[in-house]
Amino acid sequence: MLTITLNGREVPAEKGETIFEVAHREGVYIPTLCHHGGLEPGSVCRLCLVEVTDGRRSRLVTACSYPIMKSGLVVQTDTEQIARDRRVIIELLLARCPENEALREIAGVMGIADSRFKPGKTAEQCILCGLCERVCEHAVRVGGISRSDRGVHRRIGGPFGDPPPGCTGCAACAHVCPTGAIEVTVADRVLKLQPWGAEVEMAACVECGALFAPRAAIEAAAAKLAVRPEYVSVCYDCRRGKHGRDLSKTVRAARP
Amino acid sequence: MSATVTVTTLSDFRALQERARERRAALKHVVSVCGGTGCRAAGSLAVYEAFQQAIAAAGLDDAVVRFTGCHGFCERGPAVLVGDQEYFYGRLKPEDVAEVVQRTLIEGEPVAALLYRDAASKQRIPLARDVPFYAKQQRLALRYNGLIDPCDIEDFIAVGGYEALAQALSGMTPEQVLQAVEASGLRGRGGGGFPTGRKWRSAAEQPEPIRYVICNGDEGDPGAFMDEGIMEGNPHGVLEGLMLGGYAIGARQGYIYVRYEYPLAMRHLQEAIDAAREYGFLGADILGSDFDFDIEIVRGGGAFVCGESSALLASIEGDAGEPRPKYIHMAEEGLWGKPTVLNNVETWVNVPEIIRNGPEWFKSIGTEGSAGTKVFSVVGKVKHTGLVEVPMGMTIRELIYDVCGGVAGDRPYKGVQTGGPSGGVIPEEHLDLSIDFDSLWEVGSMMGSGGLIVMDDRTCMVEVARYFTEFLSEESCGKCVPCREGLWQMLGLLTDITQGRGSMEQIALLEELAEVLADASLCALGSTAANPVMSTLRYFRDEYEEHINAGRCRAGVCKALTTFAIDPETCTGCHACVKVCPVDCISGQAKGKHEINTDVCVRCGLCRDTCRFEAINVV
Repeated sequence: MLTITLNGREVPAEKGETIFEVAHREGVYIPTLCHHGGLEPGSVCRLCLVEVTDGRRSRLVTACSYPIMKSGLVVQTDTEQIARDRRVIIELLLARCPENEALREIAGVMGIADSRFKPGKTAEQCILCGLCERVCEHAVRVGGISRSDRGVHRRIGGPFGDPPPGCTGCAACAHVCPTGAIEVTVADRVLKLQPWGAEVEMAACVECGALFAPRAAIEAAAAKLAVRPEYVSVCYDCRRGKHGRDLSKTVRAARP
Repeated sequence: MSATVTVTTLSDFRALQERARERRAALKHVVSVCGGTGCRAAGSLAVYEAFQQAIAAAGLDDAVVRFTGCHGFCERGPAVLVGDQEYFYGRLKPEDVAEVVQRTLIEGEPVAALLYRDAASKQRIPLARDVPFYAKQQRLALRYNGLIDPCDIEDFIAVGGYEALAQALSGMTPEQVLQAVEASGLRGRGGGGFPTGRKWRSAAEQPEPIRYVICNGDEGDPGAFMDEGIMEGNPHGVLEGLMLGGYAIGARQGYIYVRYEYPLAMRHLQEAIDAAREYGFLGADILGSDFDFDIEIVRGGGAFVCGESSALLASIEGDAGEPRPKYIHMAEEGLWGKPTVLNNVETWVNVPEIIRNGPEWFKSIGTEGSAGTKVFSVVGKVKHTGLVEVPMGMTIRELIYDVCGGVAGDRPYKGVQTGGPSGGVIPEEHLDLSIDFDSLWEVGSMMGSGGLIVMDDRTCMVEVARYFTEFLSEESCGKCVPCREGLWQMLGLLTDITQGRGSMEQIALLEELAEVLADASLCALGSTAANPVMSTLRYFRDEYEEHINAGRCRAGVCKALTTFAIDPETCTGCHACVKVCPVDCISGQAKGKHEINTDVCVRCGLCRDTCRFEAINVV
């Protein structure tokens, strides 16, 4: 077990643990837009910048990806310089996405009313944090969306702008998106994911007939769990809720 | 060429060396035609062929025409050296070749009319070594450029190639090679200036037995072509450096990452690798030792950011060439998670010379903190553009005025951009600054890989900052927010200033943004991207303020802020400006007073550049 100094307080840390993880456990707030505990750090939004002093050398690092390898590190999570850098980053993002609700809320918390930078030609919702891409590739393991082009022209989507191949409609991308830029709608038994342009058929619960999940997502889940598709053919409500103890024959028969 | 020999022992190598030397010595009449990309564009291939024909016609059987690597004197291309004494002919045309062969190659006399004419002394200078451009240079990295046929391995061996490898494998332990590099004081030539030996040491000390050495040939700075010149002109030298590095740190595999836009460098390197494998310099049990090593070329991804170390690794691994967030050194976890040493082309090519001549010899060149020489590509408003290699510690003034002939058109010097788009501008007050890693850092620039862009009084410093920011904004991979959005906004602010929409608040915002970029960017592209803005603001702040407050661009570059006028006192009425004006906005009779109609003028500046009397100026 290692010991580091976090904002003047000595705290324990495991070797290899990131500053972000330690701070989170210790109740020290570090803002971030591109980090998710279940995924490898992206270090993209740069909001989690903290100051690390190792001996005489001080530098700014991203808390999400900086591994603590030895005791004695001194970490400051909120210096004047860091606050200024974070403010400018938020202003830059606000200029990109002036109408985004989530971003406006974060800016509000930080006391930023308006960006000093000129807004871009088109008002974006996406801040290109890449969480959707990472969750699709590394957690869902479909890898249907990816980044293309570079600089401010960078964008995320299916190959050549086509709908993402292999998309099961699981909507993990929408779930992790920090700005709500990915829209999930269901109409006429079809689930749509925008802006990807993905369209996936919804499956009906064999018990109650409710459209409860995309068919491809159910099949993928069944394959991952190594069960027959019938095991996952009943909706959440029928399995756990209303029908409670009276577990359907279909499910019981399909148990692994 | 004689039949291939496979060199499996040290004595095989000595025999090959002897044979190659004899073969080279037997050639009495030598012509070296520059085959660098610049001279090829200027028509050196036709000159090369003309020499071959002229020599065949003259019936010389002990003559050779070598199509060599870049000679450096690009401004005088096609550059040709004739005879053992190296008579220098610049801008040679195929029709002059027959005369040069007869008079110089056969009779040993220079052709006076074709010789280099020194602007200062107005004298014709016959020999290359007396031409000021060459006289003050000291060539280590470019040692074989102009001397050998880069695609002939035996030519390379004849002049001392693979000698360092033979010495190392037969008489030195890896530790001794490593110590020699440490003791030499060699620092990374790619820009950072990190001590090469220390980098090697930390990789060599890793417990992991699989290690890699990589050569970074992804040279991308605008106006920089040092590494291109080395890879094209001395590909075996790069391979030999990598082999020695591999031996020292215990790597069995090397990679050369070559910029996508360098097809000739790639071809020469591939031919060199093929030949080295055939002769046994690459492969198993090299020269009878137990050292196994091979090298592979990886063609770059066509993006500037791939020159950044973590992006380069990602690109070799087959991923998109984008930097990765890593706080663990490459020497510990690099390519495929293995200990890796990544050095620039020029760094690698210096290594054989250090081993061959000893670290003390290398340390005696250059300055205390920066040993050795540095290759620069000098471009912009300078008389002699080209590749120059000088000992560290030479002043910028010596380099620009003594070696490169001074500012083009003898105009006043304004600044020189060192270190490419990530470097900074060095103003006149620092002209006597010594060129070494530390001095350049102190004045807010950096050595970078060695691009030098010379600027005169007709260069607008705000526009310079805008140009580099635009370049970097386009080359930003877009992964992290400060670099992607910050450079884009910075470009917008600078564009506003150059187009007359600037305000003083924008300068304050520029400065704040520049600091955030340096603090918060993911990789070195972003964290150094604001250097052009910072350094021009530091030394040329008055120009920014003049753009904003007076609505005037003194250099006459920013069209919205420029008005040209003809000074009636100085105008001689020569009429030259009238002839070049593309919109016919200059009125006046020959020998009479001329005037510019500013309503029609498009501010192209052609009239000003044409006027020999400095009569046309910015008001």
